[in-house]
Amino acid sequence: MASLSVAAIVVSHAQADLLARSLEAISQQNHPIQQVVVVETAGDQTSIDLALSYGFSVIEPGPLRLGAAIQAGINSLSDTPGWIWVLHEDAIPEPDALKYLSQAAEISPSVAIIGPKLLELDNSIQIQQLGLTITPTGRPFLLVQREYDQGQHDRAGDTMAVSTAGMLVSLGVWQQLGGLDDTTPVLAQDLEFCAKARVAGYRVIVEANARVHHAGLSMQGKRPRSWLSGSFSQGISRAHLHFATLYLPTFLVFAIYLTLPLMVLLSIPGNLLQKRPGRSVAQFSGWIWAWFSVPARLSARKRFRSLGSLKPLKGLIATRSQRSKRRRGKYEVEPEASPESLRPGIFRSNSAWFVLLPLIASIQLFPTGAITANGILPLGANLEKLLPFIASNSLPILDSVSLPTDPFNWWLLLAALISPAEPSLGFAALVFAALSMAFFGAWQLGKLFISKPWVITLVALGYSLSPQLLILKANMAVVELLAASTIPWALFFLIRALGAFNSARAWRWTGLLGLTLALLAAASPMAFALLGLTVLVAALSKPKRGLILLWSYLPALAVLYPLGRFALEAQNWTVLTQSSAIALSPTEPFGLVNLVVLGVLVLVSLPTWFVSDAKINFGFFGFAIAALCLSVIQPIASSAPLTIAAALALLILAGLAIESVRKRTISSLVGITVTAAVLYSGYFGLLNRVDPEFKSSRVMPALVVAASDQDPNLRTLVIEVGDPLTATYVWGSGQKLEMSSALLESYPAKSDIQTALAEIAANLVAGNQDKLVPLLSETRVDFVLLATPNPEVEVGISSLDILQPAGATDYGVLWRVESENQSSVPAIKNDPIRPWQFGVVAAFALLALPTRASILGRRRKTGGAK
Amino acid sequence: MKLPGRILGVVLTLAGLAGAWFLQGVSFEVAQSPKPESISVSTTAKPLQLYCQGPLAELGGKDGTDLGSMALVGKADVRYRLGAGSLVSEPESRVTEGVAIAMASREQTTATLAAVQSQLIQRPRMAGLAATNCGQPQAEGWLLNGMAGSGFESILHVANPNPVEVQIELVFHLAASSNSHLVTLAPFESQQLSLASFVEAEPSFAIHFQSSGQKVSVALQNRSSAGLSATGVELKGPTAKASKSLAIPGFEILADGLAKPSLRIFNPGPAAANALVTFLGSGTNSDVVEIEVPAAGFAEVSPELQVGDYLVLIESDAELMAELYNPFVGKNFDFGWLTPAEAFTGELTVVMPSFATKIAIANPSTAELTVVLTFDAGSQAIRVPARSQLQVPVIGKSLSLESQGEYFVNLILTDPKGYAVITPRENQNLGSNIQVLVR
Repeated sequence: MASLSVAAIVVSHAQADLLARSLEAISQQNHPIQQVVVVETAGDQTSIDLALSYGFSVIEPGPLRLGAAIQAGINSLSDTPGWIWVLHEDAIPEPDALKYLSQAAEISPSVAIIGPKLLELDNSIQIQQLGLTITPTGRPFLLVQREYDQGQHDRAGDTMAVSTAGMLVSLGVWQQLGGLDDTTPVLAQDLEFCAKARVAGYRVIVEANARVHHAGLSMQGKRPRSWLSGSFSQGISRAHLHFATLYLPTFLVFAIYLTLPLMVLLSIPGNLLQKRPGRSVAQFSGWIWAWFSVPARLSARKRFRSLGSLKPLKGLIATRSQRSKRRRGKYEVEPEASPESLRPGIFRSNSAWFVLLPLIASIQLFPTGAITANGILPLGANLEKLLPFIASNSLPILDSVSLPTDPFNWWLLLAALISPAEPSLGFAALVFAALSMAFFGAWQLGKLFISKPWVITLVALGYSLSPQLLILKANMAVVELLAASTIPWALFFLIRALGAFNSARAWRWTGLLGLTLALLAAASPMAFALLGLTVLVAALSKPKRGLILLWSYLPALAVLYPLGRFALEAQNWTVLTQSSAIALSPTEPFGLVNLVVLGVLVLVSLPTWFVSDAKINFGFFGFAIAALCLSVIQPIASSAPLTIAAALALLILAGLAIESVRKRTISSLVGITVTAAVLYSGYFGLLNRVDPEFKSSRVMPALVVAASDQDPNLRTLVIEVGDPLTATYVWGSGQKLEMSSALLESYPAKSDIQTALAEIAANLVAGNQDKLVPLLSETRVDFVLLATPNPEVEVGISSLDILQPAGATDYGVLWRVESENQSSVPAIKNDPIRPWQFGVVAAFALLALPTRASILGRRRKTGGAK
Repeated sequence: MKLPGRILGVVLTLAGLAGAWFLQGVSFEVAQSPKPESISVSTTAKPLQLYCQGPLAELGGKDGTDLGSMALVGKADVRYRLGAGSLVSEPESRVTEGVAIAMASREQTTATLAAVQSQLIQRPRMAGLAATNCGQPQAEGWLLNGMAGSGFESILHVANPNPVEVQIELVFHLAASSNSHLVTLAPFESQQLSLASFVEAEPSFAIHFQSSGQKVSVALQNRSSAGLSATGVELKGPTAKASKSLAIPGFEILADGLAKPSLRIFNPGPAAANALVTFLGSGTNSDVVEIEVPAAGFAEVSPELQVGDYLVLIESDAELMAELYNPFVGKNFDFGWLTPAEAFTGELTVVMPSFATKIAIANPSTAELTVVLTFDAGSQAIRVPARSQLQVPVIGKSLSLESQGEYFVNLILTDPKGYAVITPRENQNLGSNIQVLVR
């Protein structure tokens, strides 16, 4: 016969369904319970009626916190028991749970607190908790978590703390320690209470035979946010800071509080790499909370330490091996899909070899210098020189023009990252690889829907060697070509993010999607609008992942921010449709080539309505129609990428239709026809001669470039003789692609300096030195370059004493100005938002990086499933 | 999904695609981008300077036996017209050597300063009328009318009207090769070079000259002879700049049945060019010739034309230069080289030498043109029909022409003892109303 007198206190908060199961389980306990008190803190009548139906006592103390609620329950007891059994309404004990807990209490008189083995409510073979402790820095740490219960931990053992769910605690100790402290963060209350007991000389143990099934509403974020005063991550962050304050030495606590902002900032990259961006928000709120509640934390520390020495805690802190095991365990999750349903990989199926075809089609673009065809300028000499013009709001024209640089410059940044010492070569490499990128992207996308590798390869080749893409290549429409090569990747990442089985993987795919959308926005804002719309529809279709997916807009918005701000200020929204000064002018979306290609694809893809999933049909046909509808919006720049996006969607559907053809002969016939079409298209691409006009990336004479290395503020006046005479005021080592802006077409640069420069140019060609000297002293001109050969003007300029001949160069005849310059060069002011733009892109790059969190997640279980 | 649903899907797809098709008709109005505006700047131009080459040069003395002898013979008549401004240097009316005329003026045109020189010579080895426009010194230029074949002799007149030394690089473009020669001229020095040693016996050659510093004055003197008889002489300045469209007014058949005119076209470019030459006669007697001009080479056109006067138009797909050789038979034999005329709009002032002169005014455009001629005695408006020319006899010392449209002018000098054609050029240094586009 049991000798332990126990009263159960059940804290309930409007969860009647779970409470019913909990009360039923309590009523079936094999150990007698002196009294059961249900403390309903939400005043839920259903819960109250339920408790009364079991004959249990009920109190409604109002919206109390956990410690006060339990205390209210204790206060309402009719008889004083020796022990109290604390339960939450989401904790369902097995019939022997209290019996085993009582036995443990009886065996060891020094034990004051006993916790049960907490199992997942929905998965009763998985352990949820088996004792609590802290890391050396004071962070709450679960000793066992998400392990299948195979009895491997079934031995009673000392622990630092146990959860309040199912906790059996001596009423005397409870009262001696003052119960749970409600000024403590909720997720540290049980830890603090148990640690106090330890410090006071009592033991805290876990009785593994006592099993309680626990829903863990707090940990799953299913409690109202007020319960944890924020999200679960915020709760943990506060609990960490609180316990660190209690446990760590004074000087460390002092140092931590002082360096909290720095620590929060430094932890951002780590959190992003771990694909847990929400943790940074929690840490930020934890820092603010800690700074504003310093007196309360120090007061808690004083109370805690007044109970005795902290030595008993040291041996119970989580060891290195426990922490390491826990980290590994985080990545052990169920496989995404069964191995049988995995699609063939591009390398496993040897389809990667077909990338040679788009590569051969691009062979004329093999990078050997800076592309200068179609008015494309070389890029800055190196990454350092190119970087200032990314997301800049000033153009180095005249005495600086306040216009945003092109969003396309982000592509140039990518090129500079590929080849930091020669960005022009990196850009040429990007253009050369564009068709191959399109092939790989289309293959990866096709793989998600089509199972036969040869069909996927045909789709990928059909896209990368489509007449539309080859025409872009032939016309050296590099902006549209790069945009088109990005579209399949964006769709692929979107679908992977949508189908990710855990948030870490969803964040990683979202990171990749965000970066891809940013690149797409930088090349074709209208294509970004299409993909943005697609992301929105996808997010709405799957709200669980949708909230993460919507973050993928952020890098693209950061990229388009300067242009957007300008459009707002100028009230000219058409500028938002053009991303680059070298973008194509409006084209006819339904030209002959597009009409033929899209018409054939529609005919081939329509049968998929009868063979494939309706969702896929709705998705891709909807995408194609949306793309074609949006393609009409091309007020100042071509919408070619949108038409190509429509072709991509129809190609996937056509692939599905071809794949569904059962008869081998018909299937072969279709395959041969499509192969012939693709090869013909590729042949057409090869026939289309294209001259990228590779040149050196230097755009000014070597003397000017060398001088500009010494003095970055150097200015050259470039004169082109014609009607009218053209005078270009060139900064530093010359005009580069990153310094251009499509807005200059609509908003020509105007400056007071233009008049002075015009007079300088006129006096130069007239050979009039008298007026020239004062003009040159007011306006900085270090060199004069006569770009168009004109001996008459050359003789006129040469007759001026103020100019020292510097010789004939490949760029024209050069003179150095020998005058005392009194003018100052205006400083470029950048938008304060600019660092944030880079920060957002960098954050998404960290999210996109493959780390253990997003890659190793499948390792063990996939192996086990074989 | 059931069959009706799938059929509905097909219908919706086709409807969506049709909708996208119809949307293509929607157009967006976009504000036109403003064109960049140029800035008009005026500055003080350098004084306007013209240079007259002076008398003709004779090689080998009066009999041609004095080897190595090169001397200027006779005197050249210089006529000039002065406008508003201060004359820096004023020449004599008959000169025995090259002479510069300079005038400081804010507004610079032919009305400010214009000059021509002429010389009728009658010597055993050299006879005919040589007249040329006194033009501005140039930094570089071309002379196309080189003649060094049997019975021809070319002498180059080079002059440095500046107070500093200059070097002139001469490049002789022959039929199959080219060679160069450097001439150094001291301040204010002039030289006459016999070209026999540079061009061998090439019947046709072109000369490109380029100064290393200040501008120089260059002219080519050609002499022809048949046996011991002198058959003509001519002095000509640099030809018109290369252009895709050239017009030569004032071409007349003057030696019908005795000698043929010949159009010489030179292509300075690196690729062969096709030229369409039209000889627009005053009646129906026109001719059209299509010819390919090799890169850096010549093409010759010898038209079979009836007696009359013609406007010669040359259209091509590349920039070309041309000169037209026109033989003359009067009391004496002579010849002249007709140079493509400069396109003028507005006012032009021409100075007339003391010989019977006609002015040929050409209008190659497709609309009729009205030109007002102002003589010393009064004004006269003439209408030049589209794609044609008019030849008007003129008298006096100078004449001004004015028109709203574009016109081309050559002065034709005829004398029983000789024939010459003067091609007026605009005289202007850059200074006023320079349009500058600043970027």
